[in-house]
Amino acid sequence: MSNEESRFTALVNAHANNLYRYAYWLCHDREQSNDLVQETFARAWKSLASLRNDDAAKSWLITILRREHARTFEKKRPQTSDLDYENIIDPEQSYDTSTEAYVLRKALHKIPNDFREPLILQVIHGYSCEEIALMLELSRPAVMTRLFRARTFLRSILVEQQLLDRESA
Amino acid sequence: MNCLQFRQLTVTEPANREKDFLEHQISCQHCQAFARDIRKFDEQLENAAKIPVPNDLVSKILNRQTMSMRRRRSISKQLIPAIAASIIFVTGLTTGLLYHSSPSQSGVEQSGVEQALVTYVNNHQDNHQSTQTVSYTDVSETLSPFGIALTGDLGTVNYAAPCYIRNKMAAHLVLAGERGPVIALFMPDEQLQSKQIFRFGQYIGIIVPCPKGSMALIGFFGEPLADKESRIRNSVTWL
Repeated sequence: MSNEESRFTALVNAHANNLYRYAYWLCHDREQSNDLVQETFARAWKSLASLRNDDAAKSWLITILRREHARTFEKKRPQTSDLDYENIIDPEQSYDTSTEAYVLRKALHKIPNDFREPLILQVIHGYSCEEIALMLELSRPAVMTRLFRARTFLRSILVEQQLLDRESA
Repeated sequence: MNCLQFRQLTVTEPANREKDFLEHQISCQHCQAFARDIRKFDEQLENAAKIPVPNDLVSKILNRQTMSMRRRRSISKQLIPAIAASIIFVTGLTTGLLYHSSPSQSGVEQSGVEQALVTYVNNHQDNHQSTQTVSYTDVSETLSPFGIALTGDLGTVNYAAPCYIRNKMAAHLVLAGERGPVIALFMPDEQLQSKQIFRFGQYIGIIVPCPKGSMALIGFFGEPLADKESRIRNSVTWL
């Protein structure tokens, strides 16, 4: 295996899973997420030489994926529900099946993509507000506003659900 | 920093590490509890958002990359023994006259290529209906394995991918034409000896031999293929 191939394999192993999750929250569809990630790494392979620093690989891959999503899949975004995952749970993968998680996933599907995307980048990928602003080509205050509104909305949904649970208990 | 500012910042960025933020958190018990609550919520959110990943995701990605490398190596081997990528251009005609090549070219060979092109175009109509624009980079990458360097502007390209013509690899582009899509097929392994024009259904096609290979241009009847030929000649270099 050449150095290039080894490097590429390492990138795939390190980032494919979280990239898939990011793709899922962009397009809400498992098949499209799979296709997006496949296409992202295909493009990454072709332009691997342009990646000078492997520490920047994650944000580089996310940028490729976002562009690919905008180019190809945004037009055919389906409406999908959490039931897609509820029915195909792989017992070997940890998957939160609690009511809170179910409620949060449903709510995540509903919030506008403009709010969901920065939240996913922060919560799953651990990016700071400055990094998110760079990746999404927004100002830092805009990112902060979106994060605030996304989290506030989701918390209110969860609190409402918890109140309902108490009432019915 | 006051409590309101702290709480707004906590909801926005729970993992904030700014000095003012951390100092307020230490000094205010109520805000400390608030921050704890938000972080607990974030854990729930993270767990909810981490949906399962297909078990074969990584292997599919790596397999695709391996296949891509093998395909490129195979094309290179075909190009090396004296048949490099070549493009057959046929001067575009609008009169629709159909004629065949000079006697020096085997009629059987040319008619075989022509028939293969007719079959290919008829079987790949979907590719010719694409309205998405292919980037310059993607077009260049499609042509480069065939020894063709993209050096200019081909105009709008709506499709670019390798394909098989008569079981031999070729580069397939679809360009925007005046009357509809114009199909350009670059065939490095088809060394035709003479120009050819042919017509089938609503299409007119031209095949032109070049120093390194041949290429076909196919468009709707009435398409000025000469313009396309000229633009392609000015936009590519055969290596």
